[in-house]
Amino acid sequence: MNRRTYHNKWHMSARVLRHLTLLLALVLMLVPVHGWLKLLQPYWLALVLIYWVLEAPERNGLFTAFFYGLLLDVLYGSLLGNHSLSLLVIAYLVGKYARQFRMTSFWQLALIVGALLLNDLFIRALIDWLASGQKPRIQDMLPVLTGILVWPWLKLLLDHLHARSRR
Amino acid sequence: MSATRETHLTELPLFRFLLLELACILLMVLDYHTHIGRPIRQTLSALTYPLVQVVRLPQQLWANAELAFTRQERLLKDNTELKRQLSNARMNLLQLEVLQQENQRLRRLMHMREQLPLRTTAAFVININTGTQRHRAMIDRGQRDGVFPGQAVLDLHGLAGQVDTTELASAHVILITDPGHALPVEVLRSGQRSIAYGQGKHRLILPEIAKSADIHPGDILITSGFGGVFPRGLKVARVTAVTPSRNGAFQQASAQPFANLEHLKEVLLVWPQMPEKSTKAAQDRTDDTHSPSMQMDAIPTQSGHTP
Repeated sequence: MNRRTYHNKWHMSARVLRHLTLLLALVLMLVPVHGWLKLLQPYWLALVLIYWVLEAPERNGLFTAFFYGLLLDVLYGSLLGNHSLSLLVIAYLVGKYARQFRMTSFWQLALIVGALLLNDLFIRALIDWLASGQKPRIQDMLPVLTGILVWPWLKLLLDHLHARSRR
Repeated sequence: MSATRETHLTELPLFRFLLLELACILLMVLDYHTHIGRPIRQTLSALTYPLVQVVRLPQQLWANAELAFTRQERLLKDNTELKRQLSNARMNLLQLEVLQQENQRLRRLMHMREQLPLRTTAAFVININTGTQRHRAMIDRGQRDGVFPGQAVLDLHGLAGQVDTTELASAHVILITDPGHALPVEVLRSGQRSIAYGQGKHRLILPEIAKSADIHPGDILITSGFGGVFPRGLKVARVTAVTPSRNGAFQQASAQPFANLEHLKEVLLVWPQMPEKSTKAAQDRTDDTHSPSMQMDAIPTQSGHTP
């Protein structure tokens, strides 16, 4: 097999995997849950996006963030650009510091992810407050915690899938 | 990307980031103030609707399976119960028709506009997560069914909310209990007008009622038709408590909506009334500038019930 086609094939399937997992994250965000479980639902889309930008920062995840944020806005019926804006910030920060982030330990990275999610939460809370007068609640911070808890497992799973797609 | 290579401004991540960020803010402002969001939502919903279906399909399969395994005797019991309800409803309708004709005749005598019966379409609520905006629901009718933003949404017990955004085959409904929702209402008994704000927690609050106003716990609130978004006379809520406001200048009331907003399953979309024009045209029109204001009258009457 010639090296170039091999390279192309690798890129194709990684890209397919990327979009597939991002779409799956969107579906997970739509699953109706009730009661306290609803408060705990992690922000899947942001987590998966962080993973992919971290894996391939040179691929510029900004457009991906913008596009999938827009899809989420359509699905949630929120203001167009609401989720895009906050995801763009995540994608930019992760892309900029990807090298440093990858050098840190596994657990430290989980904390960084938590900080990113918290920042994202503030942005969205601000937009919601400005647009519809919805006051932020302390419970809204719970997805950040569950995000931190879910992140290591999600990373392991996606690492596994990513490694297989490379073959 | 090599560091030594000279990069254009447009290739800088920071530049792209700021550009996209600006696009987002612009989009939000435009979506808030104009109708630019509608074509965008319609286009993107071609991509997102399959995702909704992915979530919806297992639920539908489960519902079907449940139905298939329901014991026959329970179905028979349900059937007789429904038949009983139907005959009751028919009896009520018979009486209502007589009353309606009488009402119509009296209105004509008083030279008021005739009230037309509401035209509605049924829609199902799609059971999906609607994010941090809590008092929302998604329904399975959209732009291709003629649904437009601002359209009134009822359930069988009362007003549920209004359409907020529309996609191709679905729409998002903002419920009357949403903190961002304000609803012009009037007290059915006294004709006292006020505005009911959503308060979350499945309650409404009427913060500014004059101290002299005639309002008591147990009063029924109906839509007043002001503002032209909702037709007049839809049942909204029952007043549960009336208390003096914090500064003592007003009194405030809290009310419990009639609609079963916690377990919304089936809803009715209300079409605006157009007596002269054909009803088809009403359905095809999708801008919300027109209003069912022909239903408003100066004298409050007690005719407002959903037929």
